[in-house]
Amino acid sequence: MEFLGIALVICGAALAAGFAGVGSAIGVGIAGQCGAGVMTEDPGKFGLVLLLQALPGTQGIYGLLIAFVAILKVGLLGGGTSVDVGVFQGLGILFACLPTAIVGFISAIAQGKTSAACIQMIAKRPEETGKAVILPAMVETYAVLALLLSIILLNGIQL
Amino acid sequence: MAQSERYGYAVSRLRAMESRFVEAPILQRMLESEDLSGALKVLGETSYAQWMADGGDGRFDQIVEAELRFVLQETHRFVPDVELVDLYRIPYDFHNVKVILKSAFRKASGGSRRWELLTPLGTVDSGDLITAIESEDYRMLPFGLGGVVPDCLALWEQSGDLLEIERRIDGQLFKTLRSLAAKSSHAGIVSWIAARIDAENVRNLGRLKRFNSDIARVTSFLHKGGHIAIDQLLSIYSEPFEFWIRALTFTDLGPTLGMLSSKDSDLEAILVDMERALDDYITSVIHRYRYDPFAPENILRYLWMKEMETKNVRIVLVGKSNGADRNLLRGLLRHV
Amino acid sequence: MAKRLNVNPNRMELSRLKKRVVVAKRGHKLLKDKQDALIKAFLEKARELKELREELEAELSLCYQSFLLARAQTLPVVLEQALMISSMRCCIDVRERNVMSVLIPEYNVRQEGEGLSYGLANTSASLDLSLERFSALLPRLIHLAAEEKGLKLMAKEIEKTRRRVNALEHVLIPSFQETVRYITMKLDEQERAGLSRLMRIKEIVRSH
Repeated sequence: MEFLGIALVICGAALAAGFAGVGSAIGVGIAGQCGAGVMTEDPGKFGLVLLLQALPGTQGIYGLLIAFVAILKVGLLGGGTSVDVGVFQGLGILFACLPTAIVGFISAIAQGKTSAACIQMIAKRPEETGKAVILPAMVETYAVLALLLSIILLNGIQL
Repeated sequence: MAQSERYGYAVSRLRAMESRFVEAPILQRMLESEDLSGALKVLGETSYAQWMADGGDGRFDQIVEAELRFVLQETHRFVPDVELVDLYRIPYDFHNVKVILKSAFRKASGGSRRWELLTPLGTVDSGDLITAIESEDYRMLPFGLGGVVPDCLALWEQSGDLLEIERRIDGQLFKTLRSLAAKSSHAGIVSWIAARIDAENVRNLGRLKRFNSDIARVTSFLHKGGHIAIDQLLSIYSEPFEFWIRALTFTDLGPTLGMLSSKDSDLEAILVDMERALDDYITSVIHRYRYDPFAPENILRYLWMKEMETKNVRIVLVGKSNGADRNLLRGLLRHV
Repeated sequence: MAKRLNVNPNRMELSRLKKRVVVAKRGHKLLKDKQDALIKAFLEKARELKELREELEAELSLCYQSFLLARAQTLPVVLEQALMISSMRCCIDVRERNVMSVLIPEYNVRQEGEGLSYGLANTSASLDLSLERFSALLPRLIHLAAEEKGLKLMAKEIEKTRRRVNALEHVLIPSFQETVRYITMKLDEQERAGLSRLMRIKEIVRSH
């Protein structure tokens, strides 16, 4: 029973990094596909396209960040003996990780689509790059909010 | 990757290609230029330039055709479902079949074949079509033509009614387009083909009215599958044209036809205006998907706009080479 | 100076020539009248034809405009395919009309069959319009052609008549008159020679 707590923490960290990462991969993929389409016709837009393609990638980083915070909290990092984690504390950490996992997954895909649309926009209007970057960044807000909540929750859990 | 995002690459690429359209300002400059070579010089600043290397001013038809061919081949290469491009290419297949059939008719009456009228824009190699028809191996013909062509040949033997033959082949064309659209299972594409059939039906109705055809004949010229029921179209046929606009107000065509000046009772002028309005209507149907970055309908939209563009370019160039009046040409241009 | 004819200066010839001068003068007057009449008719007709031609040219340019629209709709090969076989036939009869010895052709055009012989799907209504206009214009065009041909023939006839008039006026009649004068002089000379010879003989006879 004493390992169930730590297992729940690992599960939470894996969910956060995994789901957010998968979401980002899909999002970056969608944006990249569109970017390739535009660059086939206009290779000069590489810089702008790269910027927009990278935007959905942040959710993966957030997921990884939360995963680190979670496993740091229980002392898994560094290979030393871990702190004793109870089942309910482990469950708490698992739930604290979920906002980043779920919101990261969905927002990354949504952001990927927005980025794709914006890449198509700069294909037609290269002068509007500034505005094109703001639109996908709006989606980022919710990923950041979820990240914030996850961090607050993780900090709040007393071991 | 999800099904819906498959078109990301193709649509983005077409978006980038869209920025190279010959748009209103360029057409305007072509109109303003002194003569044909001046207009061609303006055209030389666009994507048409790559086809202008050889040949004189009189070859602008080849230039336009080369551009159209290039676009069709290029999109055929990177569009996930080639059926979408085929929707544009199949009419040229049917054109080729007509050329072969008419050549056969001409040959029977001592005329010559006109192979130079075959176009490479179709999906099927024209050589294959010739072989299939001349060797009477009709099973080799695509798009259900295997059943239509022998009928047409028999009909020519019996009555020589060319109009009926043309009608059957055209009917088969729209049937093929409809089944192809249904296969693609995208709502926008199906409704676009339906819109095209609507436009075609209304156009035929107007044209046949000028010839005072009887209603039985008109029935045979209307194609199934449009948004507007054939019965409804037939019921307005005997009415004057002003009534049509009112009768069709509540269909999709309503707003488009409503813009025509109904006080102008000259049917000829109305027909020309109506043709342009119907083209604009088809454009508006496909324009609904303009802002969806992953909609396959955007492929159709690009190709349709390209077709409108070649029409516009051709109108300007033909007009310039014949010294037509600038304002008249301006009135003929389609919206891009 | 007109050349005199190379004839024997005798009385026979003189009376013949005198008759010819009269005939030539009458012919000249007749031809002159014909020429005047022809020129009058020609001018009238030319004015009429100019109007007709201008009218037809305006209509033709209207036809070309709608054809231009039909042509611009699609690839040229598609248009040509649509018009490859026509179910219409055009027959033409020729008759000739005589106006002052000028044979002016008259054509009678008949168009048979149905105009619509192409698919509706890949042609436009403008094609219907332009073909209809062309087919309505065709008889008038041929009429114009016939009239213009007639005008040309008239011009040729005028030219011919004028040449004849000129030949009569400046060559034939003066040379006849010259010859008549020459023969008269010659005959007078002979007469005087004969007279003086007689006087001389008379003197010789008297002195004996």
